[in-house]
Amino acid sequence: MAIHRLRGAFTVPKKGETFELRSGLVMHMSGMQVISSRSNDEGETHGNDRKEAIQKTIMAMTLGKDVSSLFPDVLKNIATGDLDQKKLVYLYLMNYAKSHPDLCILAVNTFVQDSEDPNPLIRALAIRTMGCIRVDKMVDYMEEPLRKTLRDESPYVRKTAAICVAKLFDLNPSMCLENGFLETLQEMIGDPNPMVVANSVTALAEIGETSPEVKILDINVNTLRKLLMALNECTEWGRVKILSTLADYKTTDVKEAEHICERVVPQFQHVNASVVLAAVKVVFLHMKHVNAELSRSYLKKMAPPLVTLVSSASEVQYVALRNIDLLLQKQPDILNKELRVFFCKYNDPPYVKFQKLEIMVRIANERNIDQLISELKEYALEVDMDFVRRAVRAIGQTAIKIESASERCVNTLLELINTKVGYVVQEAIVVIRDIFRKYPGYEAIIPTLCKCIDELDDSSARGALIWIVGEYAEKISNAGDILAGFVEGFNEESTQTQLQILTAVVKLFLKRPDKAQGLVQKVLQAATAESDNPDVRDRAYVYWRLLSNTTEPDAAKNVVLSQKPPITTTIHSLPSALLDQLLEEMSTLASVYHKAPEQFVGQGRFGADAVQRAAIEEQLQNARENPLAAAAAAAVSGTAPPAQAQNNVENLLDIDFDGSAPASAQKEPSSGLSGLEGLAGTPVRVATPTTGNVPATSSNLDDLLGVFGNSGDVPVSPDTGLGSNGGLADMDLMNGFTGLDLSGSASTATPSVGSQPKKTNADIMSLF
Amino acid sequence: MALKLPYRSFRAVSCSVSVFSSGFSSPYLSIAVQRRRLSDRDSPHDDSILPETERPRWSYTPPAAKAPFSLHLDSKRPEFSVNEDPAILDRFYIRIFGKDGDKLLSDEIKWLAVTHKSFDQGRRGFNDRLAFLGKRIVQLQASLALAQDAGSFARRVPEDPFGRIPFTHPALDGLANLSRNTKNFLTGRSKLSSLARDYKLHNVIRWSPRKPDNLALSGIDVVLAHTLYAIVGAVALEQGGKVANRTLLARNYRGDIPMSAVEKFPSLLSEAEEESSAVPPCFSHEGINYLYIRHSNLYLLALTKRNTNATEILLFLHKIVEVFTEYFKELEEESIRDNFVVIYELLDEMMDFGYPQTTESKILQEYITQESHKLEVQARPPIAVTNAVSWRSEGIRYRKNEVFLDVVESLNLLVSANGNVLRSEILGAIKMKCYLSGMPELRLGLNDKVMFETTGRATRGKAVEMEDVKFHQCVRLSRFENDRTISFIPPDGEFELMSYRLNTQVKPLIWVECLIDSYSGSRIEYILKAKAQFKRRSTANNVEILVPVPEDADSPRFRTSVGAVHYAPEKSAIIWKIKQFGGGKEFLMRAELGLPSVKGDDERGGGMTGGFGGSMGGAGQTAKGKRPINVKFEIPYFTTSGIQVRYLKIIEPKLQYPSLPWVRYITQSGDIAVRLPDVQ
Repeated sequence: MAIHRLRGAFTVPKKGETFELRSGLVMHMSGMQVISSRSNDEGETHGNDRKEAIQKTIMAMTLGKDVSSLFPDVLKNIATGDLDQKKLVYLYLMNYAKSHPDLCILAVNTFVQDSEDPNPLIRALAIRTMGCIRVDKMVDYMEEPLRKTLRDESPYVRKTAAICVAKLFDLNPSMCLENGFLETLQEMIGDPNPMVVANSVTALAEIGETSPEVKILDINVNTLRKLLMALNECTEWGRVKILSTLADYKTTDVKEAEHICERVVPQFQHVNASVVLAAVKVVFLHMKHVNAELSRSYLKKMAPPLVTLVSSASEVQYVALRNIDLLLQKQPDILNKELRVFFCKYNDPPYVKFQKLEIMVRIANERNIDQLISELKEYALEVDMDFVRRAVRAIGQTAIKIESASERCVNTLLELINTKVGYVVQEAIVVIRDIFRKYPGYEAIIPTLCKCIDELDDSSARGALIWIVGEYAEKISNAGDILAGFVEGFNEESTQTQLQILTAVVKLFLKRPDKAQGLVQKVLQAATAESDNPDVRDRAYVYWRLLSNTTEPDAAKNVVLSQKPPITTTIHSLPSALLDQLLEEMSTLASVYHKAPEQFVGQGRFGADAVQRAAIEEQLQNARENPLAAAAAAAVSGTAPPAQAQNNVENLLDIDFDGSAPASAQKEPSSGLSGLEGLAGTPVRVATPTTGNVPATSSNLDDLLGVFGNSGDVPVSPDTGLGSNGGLADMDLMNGFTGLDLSGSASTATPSVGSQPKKTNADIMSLF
Repeated sequence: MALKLPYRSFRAVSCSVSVFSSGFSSPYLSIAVQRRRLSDRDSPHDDSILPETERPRWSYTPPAAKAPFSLHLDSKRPEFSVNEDPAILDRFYIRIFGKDGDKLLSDEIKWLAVTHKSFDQGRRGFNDRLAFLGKRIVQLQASLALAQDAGSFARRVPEDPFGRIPFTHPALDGLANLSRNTKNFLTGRSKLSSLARDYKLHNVIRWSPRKPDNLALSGIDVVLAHTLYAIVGAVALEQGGKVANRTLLARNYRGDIPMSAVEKFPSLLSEAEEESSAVPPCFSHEGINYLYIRHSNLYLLALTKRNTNATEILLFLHKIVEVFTEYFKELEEESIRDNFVVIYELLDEMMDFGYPQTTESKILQEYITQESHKLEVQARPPIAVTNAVSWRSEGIRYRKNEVFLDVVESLNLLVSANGNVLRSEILGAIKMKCYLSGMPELRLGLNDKVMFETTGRATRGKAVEMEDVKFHQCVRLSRFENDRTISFIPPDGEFELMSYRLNTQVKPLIWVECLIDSYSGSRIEYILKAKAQFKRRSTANNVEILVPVPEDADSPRFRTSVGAVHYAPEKSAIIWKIKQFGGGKEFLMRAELGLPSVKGDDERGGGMTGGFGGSMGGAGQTAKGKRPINVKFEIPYFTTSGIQVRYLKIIEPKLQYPSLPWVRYITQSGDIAVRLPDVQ
């Protein structure tokens, strides 16, 4: 048998293979009647042959061959008492239903029958498979079986049916709503069986996520009690679901928050890391509401399980470390005593090592600093270039973070420079530059640095060294010679280095005019005449004007040599709004990428809206570059009233100055997008949510008109500045394009879910 | 374009993808696999090629490789002309590979593969390496074909004079053919050269026969076979990656992720690997998120479009490995192919619509079996699947009711070169083998310090303060939280009841001190001192101390008072094994190794050794860093932390049987690393 299968796996598909499979599938089909009356043995043999043929078909499917042409033949085998065969046929159906939507009807009868089978396994199988056949015709027949199985006596069937509601909702939300399946699900939260509860919650959470307007997972005191009860009894995966639901629950009641925390804390002891992380999330989010003392004790309890996560499988460990990083940014002192745990192991994968480095720097404090520095030095002598660089950088970050340690760090860096390993030296110099920016008092080491000048080939390292030379020009006797060497090769340097050379030479000239007269001439000449980089040229011209300003000889000094405030940290931190958002997404992909979910997830189904968004983005880009033409195009398409368009054009003229106006004007990100998008330079379309939910009844044209019409109705108060006015127009145009785009893809647009025609209006109102 | 300096890289990336786009989201489970990629160009001749002109390399002899005059001053050998026309070569490749066959290989390789080393004294590159690789591939395939289908090469069995009929069985067909001879016959020179002639290979090979007037005597058969191998090798090198990189099995749970996304995974991964040394286990590409884990040479991959719970999905992938391993003993390409039916069933049972359901393999085994169900007894879902006690079925009976408790502690240590303990950690686990009838209710008592304190009990003897405790899902967590009682209904058979962690500072149980002396770079000497720092009553078994040495060390010499030392060049280490190491004892070992004349310190050793094997050994890994000394041992009847099982109460309310708990303690080495000191 094994050999047989092997052969199946390795031989190239023969021409007649499909034919062979087909003949196997329908073998003795015509003789069915006869067989059933004959001896049982023989009937079974033929059955086994057919089963084998189905198996081979599935095998071919697994190997990526297209066996969809066998659909009718496989379908003929659906009515069988043999569970294995049934599963195989169902599996085939799930895979190829899309290619033969019409024929699927033939299977409906069997599904309906199976959903009433005495064996719960078969009932569950039927309802599970029906949900996976994503064909409209099948959906029409799901109503009855689903209703029955939701009230099935077997919890196994009920838990399967609960998930099936989510599947159905994904395909046809209105049918779900009409039949009251969602209400049934809500009732099922009170089911005596914990697994059913967990799956109902899962399904509700999913529905709530895809269509937030169907306020479906409404947690009240009653459901909360049920969830907490089920929490202790259901499987690990069920617990994860319940815990994430609890985390999303917003309570303001101190008592309630305390109660939740108290019930969730025991889950810290669960062996499954995702349960632990989910529990940490719940406690962390609800902790805000309880009193300070209690929340401190929770933070203390959180530390050991977090540390234990670090010894899980490396992939899980990575996710845990990313989350610990987030937690530490919010609560820097929870893992104060645990530095050693994050020491890198020799065989940790690099992604874990890098993350551990970042965390080590975050928890560095006066007490553990010695350990940390000696450990980092050890890493800096490894051979993985990337890792070494990060280790060196970490030493610098610690120096800047902890003042008392700066001297030890600098000494360590000097030792590293003495190793003469190219990339170590370069990174060390960059790091030392930053240290100078905080503690200016380490001039004594400059000669050592200058010695390695010839070994620097990385532009950032060269730039760093040049910066140091310029900054301390008065104390370096041969600063002129060093810089002269760089000026010599000015044209070959990268832009970054050129800028540094320029500044350093000017600094030198201002500090010691006698030495650098010729040099400054030369470099300004090179930068203005020979460089074609606008930054370099502009800066050179600025310096030139400053230096040639004879009326106020100190002007240049005041500008170039002015005191700059010392830097405070070089440790990367997330902006606090994003951090708070990510903490609510703990353990999800967003927390791993450290990016808001909107940045990598298309909200809608099948990514259609991601494509759409890209298209809109492109159009907006065009609009930004060429506002007149775009507005004209909009006008030509006949959607906007001419007067309005005219108005827009005028306002659009200052669109460039106002690019970020919408983001700043937007007080409450009602759309669910954070204001951050605006900060990142991408325009925020306030009215985004409407695009997904355009009422199917109103035509897109109407909708578009509506958008413009609405904005026309909004009374622009006279004292609103021109700026916000421009911002509004900007928005209009964006909405306009959104609408336009939708009209293009109207046929494929997702079915509407609850209409909110008023929303646009409200959104724009909120702008003022 | 100037010619790229040839480089060689050998990587065995094999992948198996288990794709679920999953989770909150949209699962799709696929197990893909096994690719062997021998990458990129390989010009056998990498020493002397310097790009000189824009001309392709195959078409001329580098001037620097030419002597000013020929040494064969008056060679009588007539000039043997070979094909120089690319069009003719292209036609040949189309003949052999079919349509577009000429585009299968890059230009340079097309010529290289048909160039024998005799041509132009090998100055334009030759195909020996390609042929070497190709030959291995052809032989492997031949062997596989034989193993799968030995029968079709069967010879007739002579009739038995006594009319006896030999035992036959389909599996035994052609067993006699499974010999080297058959394989050699199939891949022999004459067969291959005649095949090559069929493709008119002799018209395009570039070689220089010894006797241009008598090709057969010049060994054209060998050259043809050789060239054919080289072509196979070239295809494997240039196209092997694509062809061998397959998805083994995939399950799409939500239908929102196209199969093409799964197929993109290997290339995405290798792209990412080229860019950075640290490719995280989840990344996003074109709106699809890839989460993967690796299990030996398989990748298990989950795909999702949504902001899924990453921890959950990654853990679920690990769980899949666990369950499959319990089902098939080993999870590998073969076992997946052989059991795909069961795997589909399991995948459907373990995850629905992207949400993990049941992953308890004991329970799954009750209703998803590899044996086909007989019609009369249909499997039903065990009540346990959805029960509050989802890990134990009812109605279990044993004649003798026994419980075995193993308290296993493993010690993780990181020791610096000067002997400071940088990090120490005890990871303990209580493993149980449970053979009890009915639904027994168990209670376990440990000398847990926190419990002693909360109950106000006077501590007799030592109590242990556990930093963090993790329990199997059968343990009632809320009870533990309240009064530190560990109470549970155990699953049947073997499982891990709990694990705990202690951060207490421990001294290394086996202390290793190492001194390294290097004598003028040609010899290196290690002096190792090992001392057992535990009570004399105990003994450490199977002690193994692994000391990394430079990669190219040779001629090892050892001296030791106890145990055995051997050199393991494949690990670049010397291993000192001591069967029994008594407490308080101290042993010494000296090892001396020779270093090759080229100097390289232990970190950057090896370097440009070149050659065939040398660079392949690296297998794509970056150079090894400073590897630490590794220590392994096992000490029975001893726990480092001093944890003790005080009692194990077993109550089965209905059956009320007597039962026997057995307890055993053991300490193992976990990850014990002692950093190497610098070479003196």
